Amino acid sequence: VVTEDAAFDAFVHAQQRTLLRAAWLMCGDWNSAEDLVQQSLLEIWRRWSRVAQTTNPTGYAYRVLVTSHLRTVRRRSTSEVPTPSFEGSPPRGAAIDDGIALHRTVQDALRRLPPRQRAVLVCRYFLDQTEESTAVILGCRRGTVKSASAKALENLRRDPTFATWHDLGETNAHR
Amino acid sequence: MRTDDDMRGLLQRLAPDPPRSLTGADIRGRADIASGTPRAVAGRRLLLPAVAVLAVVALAVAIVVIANLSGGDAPAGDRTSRPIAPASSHPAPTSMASRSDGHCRTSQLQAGVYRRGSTASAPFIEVAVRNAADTRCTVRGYPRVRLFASGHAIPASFTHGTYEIPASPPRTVILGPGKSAYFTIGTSTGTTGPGTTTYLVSTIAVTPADDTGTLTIANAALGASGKTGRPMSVGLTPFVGSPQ
Repeated sequence: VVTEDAAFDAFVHAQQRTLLRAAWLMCGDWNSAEDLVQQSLLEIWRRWSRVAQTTNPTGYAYRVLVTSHLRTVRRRSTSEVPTPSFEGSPPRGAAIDDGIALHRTVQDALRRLPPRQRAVLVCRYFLDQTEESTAVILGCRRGTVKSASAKALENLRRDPTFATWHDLGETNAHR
Repeated sequence: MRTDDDMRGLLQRLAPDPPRSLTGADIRGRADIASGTPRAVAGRRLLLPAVAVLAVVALAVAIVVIANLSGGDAPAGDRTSRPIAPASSHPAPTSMASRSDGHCRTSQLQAGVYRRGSTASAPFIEVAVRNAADTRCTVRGYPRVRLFASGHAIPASFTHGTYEIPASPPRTVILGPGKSAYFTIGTSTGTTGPGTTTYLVSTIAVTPADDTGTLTIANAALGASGKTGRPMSVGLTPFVGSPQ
């Protein structure tokens, strides 16, 4: 007989890495990401007897994670002020391999997205959720997900530092 | 960004591996601390022992009643001396002997210098505060700090954030037995010349935000300078769960 504790421990063991990485993509730093995941798992544990009976506890965990993050962002008196790491764009032609800085550039480009658009990207492309599932996670319509996703991608394409990184990445990949 | 697969690949490459893992026990422990009970669902879980106690009492009463009915020829003294405990001697089980708010007490903590360094005439030390007790507890927010040089307290004005680490909102750090929380103290040695005073901080007194006791760090060796007669500017970061 698997106890509630053991079942929850197994769930956390299986999901914590994905949840932490997704939280990092949304928050931008590990301290906030760990706080977010701990808070989300705490909420899940308090409802575990019901969550464990559902067909998709993982989807529920994603929903708690994302909505907790968006709620926290809304509550903050000081909203996020992304600070660019660079004066302008990184030089074209720099090797992507020696680019912790370039890695940071992409992270900054993501951070410049509105939190909800970033959350949509994380759900769709990191957590690999369909538009329907993302809509359930975010508590909105499928059309809203579709338009937010399109806007997020368009914003990234227009971000000069991101475009530079992407060009470099492709150049590097084709070497 | 040509295809969805490009975006998937990008995010997978971008998201690093977490610096540490979380466990279900951590989360359940945090629920315990938050609720002050050994289980967040203590009420539900206490039902079983409560029912068991009631069943035992009912069984004992039934045995006595049956014995009294069947033992009519027994001496009266025997009947009254049967060991039937009154109901009041079986109090409902409580979740804990005494409720704990979970805050770390100074008496269960140890503090020491974890790391030191300096950038651009801005020396800093990172302090580790270790939970030396066998029980889990929490620290939260910014510690209160006093600096001493040559046995005298240095007048200081504290700001949130140091030269290298920006200010951040307070957070709660859970400290399991033997685990440490960290914060950083940063000063400046850039102010020199006439009208300035330079100190070598020898001792630092730390008071966790949730307590009133003091932890002493005797080997601080932290340089600081500022204008004579004015408080020294000292930067502080909040407690975090891992070194910065």
